[in-house]
Amino acid sequence: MTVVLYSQCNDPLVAAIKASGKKWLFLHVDELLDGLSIKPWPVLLDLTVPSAWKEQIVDASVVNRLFSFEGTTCMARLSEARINERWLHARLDTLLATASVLSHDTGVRGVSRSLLPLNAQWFHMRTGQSAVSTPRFSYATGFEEPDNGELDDPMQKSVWSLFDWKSERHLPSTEARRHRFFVDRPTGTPLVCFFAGEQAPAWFFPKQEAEFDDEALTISARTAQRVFLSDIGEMLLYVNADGSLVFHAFSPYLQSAIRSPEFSEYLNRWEGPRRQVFRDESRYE
Amino acid sequence: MNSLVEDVNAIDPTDVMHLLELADASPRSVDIIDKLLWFRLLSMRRRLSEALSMRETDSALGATYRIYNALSPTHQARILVSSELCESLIYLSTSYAHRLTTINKDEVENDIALIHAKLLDIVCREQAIVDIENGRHNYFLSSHKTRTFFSPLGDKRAVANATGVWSVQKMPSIGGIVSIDFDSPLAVAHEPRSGVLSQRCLPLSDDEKAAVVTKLQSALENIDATVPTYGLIVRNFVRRIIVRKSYDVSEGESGAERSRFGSEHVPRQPGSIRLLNTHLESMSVESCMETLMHESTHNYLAAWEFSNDMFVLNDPRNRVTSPWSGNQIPNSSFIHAIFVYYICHRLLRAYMENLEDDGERARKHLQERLANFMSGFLIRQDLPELILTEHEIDPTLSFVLRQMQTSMKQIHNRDIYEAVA
Repeated sequence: MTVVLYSQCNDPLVAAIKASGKKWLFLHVDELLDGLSIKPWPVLLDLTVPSAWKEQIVDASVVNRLFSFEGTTCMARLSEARINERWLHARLDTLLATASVLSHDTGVRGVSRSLLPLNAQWFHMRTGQSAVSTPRFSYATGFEEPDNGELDDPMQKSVWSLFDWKSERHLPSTEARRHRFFVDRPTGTPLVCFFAGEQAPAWFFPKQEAEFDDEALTISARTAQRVFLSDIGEMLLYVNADGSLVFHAFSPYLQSAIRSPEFSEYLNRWEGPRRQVFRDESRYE
Repeated sequence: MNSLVEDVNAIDPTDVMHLLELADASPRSVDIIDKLLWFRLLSMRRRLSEALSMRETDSALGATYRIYNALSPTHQARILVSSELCESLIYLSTSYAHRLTTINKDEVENDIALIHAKLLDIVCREQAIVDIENGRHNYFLSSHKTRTFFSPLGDKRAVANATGVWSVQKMPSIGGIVSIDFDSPLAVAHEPRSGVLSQRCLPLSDDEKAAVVTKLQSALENIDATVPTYGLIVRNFVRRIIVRKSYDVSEGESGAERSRFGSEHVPRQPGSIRLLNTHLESMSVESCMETLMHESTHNYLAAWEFSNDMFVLNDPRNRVTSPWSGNQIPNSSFIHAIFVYYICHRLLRAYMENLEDDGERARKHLQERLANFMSGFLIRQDLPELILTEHEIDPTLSFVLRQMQTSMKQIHNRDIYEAVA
């Protein structure tokens, strides 16, 4: 059984899989509302999962699309009780731990390996033998001046903003002044790559086309699947004049991939997560 | 057989496991603290002696060496545990390293000379206070142009009266040993990068000072009564609490509410912590307990790191997203945070269980804090897995961090089980 657990009604993956006619099970987080209750400390949040859900998730192949609870009724209930969404993730983790295979890590952004800020994404791609390079950047501490000496064309970005590589339109006021993050403005040709399961990654050029190292692209897609614990996802890369690739961002949302005419067909060939991508735990043993 | 038993029980001050033992308030905490303090004292003496090994070529270092050696072991130790000395030695080793790479030789030589002068100033002040207390003449006093100065530890102030006669005043303290510092040069300094010392510096009235001391004393007494080991940590690893006032109630509610309170510890000053606006009534004794424990935990960890190695090398470009605040923080701050929240949780939970029935307001506040401490431990990921570093992490440290997370999850699971039952 393949189960898709989701929270956003306009999730591009959910719409695409539903349209494909796959007989997968779709569960929206608000279906849990009846079992969700606010409790006094130390429990805070109790989640009684319907037994039907439990049976469907245990030993199943699960695509976890609970990236944010924003806009859900569950979130409204949490906000009203002033309970952080981390508590809902903690409760759902108990359920998700029973799945046999899981695509996408759990937790809020920054904690989930599938929802990392740019500098952390680059760290994992750099150390994960991805065969592609990552952008140069500077990251100031507190109010200190950024050291942009090594950047050819510095542009300020939000560490959380995966788009906007010409000029940043989503810079929160908190990041504008403190912990300023600068990257080298990309000069090459943007390339969107998407991947799902073990099939070869697909790609398209949103603007002009360019020659590139396709072996490096395949290796970097496999690395991204592993380091971001995502069987399915997309990446933005830039192609340099010599054909080499620079990884810029990974996203599990697939907002760009759905623009590809090949996307539906590619998705049809995906059987859902079939092998567990283990965390790189060797560092800590 | 005996030797085997001794080996098993030996306290090795370089072993990270002892930090977990202290966090768990182990019955042998006193022995561990004693060992860590001796280790720190010896490490500081070695660093000072390394700095003074250049004394043949520098007259300030020569004088520092002579004055320091003439002091009694007690006064030498007072200097060695002062955060002023530690900070100077850190700056000195940074400048020596800088000397090898810089193209601006003059600047770094000037910096080194200033730090040498600072080392001399530190030992002169301690010596002068000893001389005043013993009614002896002191050269430093006759050349001192201001009418007041502080001991390097910050616990004593020398003052000259209108006729130039010097006397020594003891600064207020809590727990009989931790000085409360309202107005030493360190306390009134402006540090642009400090959350506390970058705030404006308003003078505290005598009543406000007395209220701060009383409140912090109550906080420490509560800590002593709740988890005695934690009281020992505060009293042995914190020597000086700098209190800054940046907001006066007469300014009304227009003042920036959120930035009124703050506290910090600075790794280059182990033994010192800084508090902001503790004088305000809205800063409760419970909040002071948490703040004191929070910053003292940083201090004992920093003291350990200073005597051994840093837990992890910091690279400002690689930061961890804190599972508590969602902010990106340095790797070392994240490791500290795990200890801090673990210890504060244990302290405040035990304290809450002994609260009187009429402590409803305090109970509500404490429950909010406990839930916040707990939340970051409940993530699916192993906490050490979040550290972003290309360097190897000590496997024992990873074990200790994971162990704290496991314990917290067990406490939470037990709570849920009991709530259902």
